[in-house]
Amino acid sequence: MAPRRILPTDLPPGSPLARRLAALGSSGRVTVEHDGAPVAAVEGEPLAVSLLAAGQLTLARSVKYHRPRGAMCLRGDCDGCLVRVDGVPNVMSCQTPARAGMVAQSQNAFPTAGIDVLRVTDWFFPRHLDHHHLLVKFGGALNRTMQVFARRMAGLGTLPDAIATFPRSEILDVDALVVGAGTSGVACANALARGGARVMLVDEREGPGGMRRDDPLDDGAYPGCDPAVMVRYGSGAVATYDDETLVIHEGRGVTVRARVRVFATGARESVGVFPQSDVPGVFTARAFALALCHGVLAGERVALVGDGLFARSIAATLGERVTHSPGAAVVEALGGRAVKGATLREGGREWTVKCDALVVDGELGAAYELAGQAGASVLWSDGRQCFVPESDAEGATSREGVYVAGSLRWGRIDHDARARDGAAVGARALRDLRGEGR
Amino acid sequence: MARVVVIGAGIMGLATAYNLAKRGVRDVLVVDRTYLCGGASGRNGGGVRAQFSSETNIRLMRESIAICRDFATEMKINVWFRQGGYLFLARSAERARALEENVALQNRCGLPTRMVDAAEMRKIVPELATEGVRAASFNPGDGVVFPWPFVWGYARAAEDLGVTIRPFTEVVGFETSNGRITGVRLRPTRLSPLDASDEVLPAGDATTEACDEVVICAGAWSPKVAALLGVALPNKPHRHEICATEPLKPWLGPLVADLTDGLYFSQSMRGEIVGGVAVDPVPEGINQQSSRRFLTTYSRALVGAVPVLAGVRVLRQWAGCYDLTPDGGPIVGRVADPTNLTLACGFMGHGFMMAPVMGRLLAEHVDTGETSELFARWSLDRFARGDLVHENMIIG
Amino acid sequence: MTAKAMLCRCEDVTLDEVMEALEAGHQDIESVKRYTGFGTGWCQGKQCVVACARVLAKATGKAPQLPITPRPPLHPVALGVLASLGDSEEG
Ligand SMILES: Cc1cc2nc3c(=O)[nH]c(=O)nc-3n(C[C@H](O)[C@H](O)[C@H](O)COP(=O)(O)OP(=O)(O)OC[C@H]3O[C@@H](n4cnc5c(N)ncnc54)[C@H](O)[C@@H]3O)c2cc1C
Ligand code: FES
Repeated sequence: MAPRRILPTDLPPGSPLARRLAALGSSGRVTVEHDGAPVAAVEGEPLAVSLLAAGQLTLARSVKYHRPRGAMCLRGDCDGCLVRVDGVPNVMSCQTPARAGMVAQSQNAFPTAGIDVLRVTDWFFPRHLDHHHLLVKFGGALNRTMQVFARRMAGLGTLPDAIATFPRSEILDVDALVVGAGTSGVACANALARGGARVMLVDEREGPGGMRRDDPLDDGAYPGCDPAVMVRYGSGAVATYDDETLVIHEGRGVTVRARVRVFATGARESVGVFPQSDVPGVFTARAFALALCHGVLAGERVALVGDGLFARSIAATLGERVTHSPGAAVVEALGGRAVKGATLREGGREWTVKCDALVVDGELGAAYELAGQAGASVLWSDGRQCFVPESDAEGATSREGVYVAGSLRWGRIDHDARARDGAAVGARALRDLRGEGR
Repeated sequence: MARVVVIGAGIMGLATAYNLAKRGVRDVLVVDRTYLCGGASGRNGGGVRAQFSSETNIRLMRESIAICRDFATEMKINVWFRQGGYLFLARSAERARALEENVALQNRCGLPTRMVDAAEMRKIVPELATEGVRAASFNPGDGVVFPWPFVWGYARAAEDLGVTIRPFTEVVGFETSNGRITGVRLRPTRLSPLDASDEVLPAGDATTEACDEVVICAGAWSPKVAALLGVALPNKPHRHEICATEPLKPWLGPLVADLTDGLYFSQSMRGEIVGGVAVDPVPEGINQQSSRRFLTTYSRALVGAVPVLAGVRVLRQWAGCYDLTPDGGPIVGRVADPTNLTLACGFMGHGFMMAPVMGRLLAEHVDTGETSELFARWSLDRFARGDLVHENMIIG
Repeated sequence: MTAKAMLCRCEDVTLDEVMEALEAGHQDIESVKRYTGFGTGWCQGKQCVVACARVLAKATGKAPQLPITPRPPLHPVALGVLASLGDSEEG
């Protein structure tokens, strides 16, 4: 049982994280259930973090090979944390706040995600299963039997237990919608509001700060929003269309019609591709840092790879407790059910480390999808080696009324630069609203 | 120089090319303005049924279904054809009567289709809300396929027989002489970054490919292509949207379709509920953008039909174009002018399932030049003659 | 032990499979997506599109210019929520 909760006293005195954890206190202790066993949780923390704190690394099984899956990104960007919660299939437990009495169950596994005998498919097809050509060379009868079996194995969860009901939806008309309440998004919304625009700012997180919320070195003093900004936290923008943006706030759908839209949706972390990168216990540095900010140490023996902001913050916070190889690349992760170690490489040298958490600050992408759906042109950037919405100096994209700001368009830039960019894009969007320029 | 140029590497063009090659006509070039599966053939629901209201369609679809059953082992690629049946719901007395008449006709054609009452509907789909449903018809032999490998299966088999397939190549014009096409003008393309609707942009200069015969299998784009030759088609592109939910363990056997609101849904091999609904109005012309209005219309209809799905999530939505004709019948066969042009378009929302059998018939027609009674009935000049065809089992 | 390198974890698509798709002639990113199924699972590509593009860049010497079309929604949304949304006049 490697992961555990840490106390402020476990950390160097005066560290920002110690202060943050002390402020959290020991309030809101609740119990949730996972595969029949009670799990201690802190109310409101991501359910996946509660399960991690209880040592539950394996939460799910993969679609085809039934390989063990665990939380990897803690940002709603992977398949690692899907469980059935209170009778609803495929719930992203990292996006679900823990509440007393919640019942989580593993799915697509027999008997549970921890054991799952269906893993045999993984061993049976050691390279991969070529589903296009599986059993096509044999007679029709065998091929048809295979298809019947394949169908039985397909899918993740089963139908919900009950007929769900949802609150009435809303339609909101505003001048400007800003998606993402990180540094640039807040600066942008403030610039728009101060210029007299009716601005709505949404973020799926429970407060402002964006990536700063997950940085254990951050002091947590996020700049505030202008009171004129209509702020909705816990509200994810989930789809954009020509003329509308769909936002979900606590199960309620909100259709936002805005004359201008600014996407400040930030960067997207990944661990990269290497053999066994999908084994439970492999985390993005941001995910590990996020858990840490909730007082959960996702491993006892931590191998930390990479030199990004989150890797550096983790190293600075945990010091000797992590083995940090800033310049290394992961050759492969070791371990079948959970990570046991990793082979690393740096400049021609290869070596193996033992660990129960492999934390990688890997290749960064950009969260371009919403801007792209809104019609902004998204192109490959050779410099950043990822897809990025095209934008001019002031954040205007190829689509009228659609802007991008912050790390989404620049990659990881420092805090002040993000704030300046947000304000500049806000000023430009304001001119657009006033019919000047464009 | 190619003997036959097929315009459009959708299921219709590729099935035709494959069957031409199988007949020995191997000097075939298939071009497509985008990637394989970029047209309707890569965007559809994969429904395959013989429940139609015209004898022609019923008989053709019986043959297509037989081809689907053997496709995997014959073409060496799994298309996941699953015969879970089609359950057609009727909510009005009039619809119920029409279903009954169709069932009688289908039975005469040898299909085991039957009318089912509410109790049996719930046996077939236990979660179905049958209130307000007057009657339903069920043919257990109908089913669904996974469309993409079907397209690749034809493509690969055609290539193995010597056919050339060129994606990202758009037909932008023709050269003609004495009422015959002598060449097609081809221009390279690339995907456009300017919107999210899978459009293409030019990516080079056009060149001419000489040819003897041209077949237009350009689906919803066919009127545009035919217009380059001065041939006016009455077809209209009609955006049709569709979406897939999160993958669930298998629970839904048939494809369920309601002709009243155009709702249909089935469960794919991967466990996703895939379906669509009629949305009115749609934007004019070719348009492959997704809309929020579709999601709402579809979700209301689907949750109405299967209430427990309210808590199930949509994973992905996309759009394609139906290729609508004024009478709901396709436009197939040679035209009078130019004399070496064959059309194969206007297949509404059921061209995928028709392609396996149509590919065979078209190849024969192009190869031999002979016209069957079927092709005479489905010819372009029926509109001028006022000799329209009838089909009322059209979804969406 | 099977040391698969998962390029797309949601659909269990390995690096191997992407290379095989390229060999089978599926060269552009949209075709690779359809042939391997990468980017069609739970995360709809949020986690793997960039990884795949980098693999294509390395294997073909040229990065794809565009990502796969980002299809709504960004995160899965319940049919019940969608059904509750008001009508809009616009298409
Ligand atoms: C959402 C949706 C759901 C559907 N559901 C079903 C179903 O369940 N069952 C069913 O049987 N049918 C269904 N259909 C209909 C079916 O998909 C089509 O009828 C069928 O795929 C048509 O095939 P095609 O090859 O004729 O056209 P397409 O697949 O559209 O192919 C035409 C090709 O021509 C190319 N092209 C166009 N212009 C040019 C040019 N100038 N030069 C070169 N190439 C060109 C296009 O890029 C395209 O790839 C559905 C359609 C849609 C949109
Ligand atoms: S989606 Fe929850 S851990 Fe990645």
